[in-house]
Amino acid sequence: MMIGFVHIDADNGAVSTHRDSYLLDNITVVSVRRPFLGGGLMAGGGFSGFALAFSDLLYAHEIAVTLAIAASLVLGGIQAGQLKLLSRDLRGTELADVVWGRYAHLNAVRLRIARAMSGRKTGRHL
Amino acid sequence: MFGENGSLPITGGALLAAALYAGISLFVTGPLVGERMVEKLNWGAQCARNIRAELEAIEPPIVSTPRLGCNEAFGWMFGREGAQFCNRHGNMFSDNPVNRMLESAEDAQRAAQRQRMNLAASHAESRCECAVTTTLESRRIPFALHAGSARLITPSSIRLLESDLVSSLNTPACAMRG
Repeated sequence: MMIGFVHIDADNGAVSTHRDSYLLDNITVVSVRRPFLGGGLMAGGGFSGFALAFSDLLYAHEIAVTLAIAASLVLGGIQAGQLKLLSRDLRGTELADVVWGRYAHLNAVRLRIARAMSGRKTGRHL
Repeated sequence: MFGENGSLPITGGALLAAALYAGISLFVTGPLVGERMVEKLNWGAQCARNIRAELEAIEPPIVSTPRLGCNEAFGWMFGREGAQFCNRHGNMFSDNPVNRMLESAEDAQRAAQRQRMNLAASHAESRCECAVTTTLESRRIPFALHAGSARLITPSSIRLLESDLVSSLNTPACAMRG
């Protein structure tokens, strides 16, 4: 799953997102991060701790809902990913593009872009 | 996977989550925990009972005035004969206008006292609810800390919740309701 899209045109040496297009030769870093991992783990841990610590004061359905929220926050933190295309030329500008989506999917896209980049350097197109 | 917390957006995400968690502790889980703690103490019912007992204790008892009877009218005046007369015909004297007036005055006093007690008792619950609301509102941050830390932090106001509730009960805002 991805919000927006990334199209790799290895033949013409370009990567296009829903907002911008980059020349493969100018891309310096392609990174994928989990921006909500820390927050998701923290909030998930907090909510599950709350549900367990106050189990004597909460009803069973409240404990179940809180634990479900905690699990979905942790899962969300693990699954949510952010792909960043950085170009040395565009450092500090608004054009450093960001694509949101599932971490595993974005990671696969990152590897495809890296392969296309190295393919251009070695003269082998994908 | 866990070593990815270095860059700025991740710190932003963690900050956002921390702010969200703090907000939920302050407005949802903290007040909920406070309410349930007061419920568990059964303070509401106990408070209303105490207020009623207190009111009954400070209410002056109705002193019964001695009735005017045959002995009071003739017994002391005519000695033994008077007493004998009263033993025989004493019943005729008990239903006299003075006694009727005294009885109706005492009945009115008792009715007024009952009414006062009922009114005070009906206000007792309102006073107790006021104390609970005031305490939960004034201790919002300690309750949020207690709930947010999953009982790891127990501020003194939470540890001494019962005395805090009594203090709130005696604040002018809640005492005025009685």
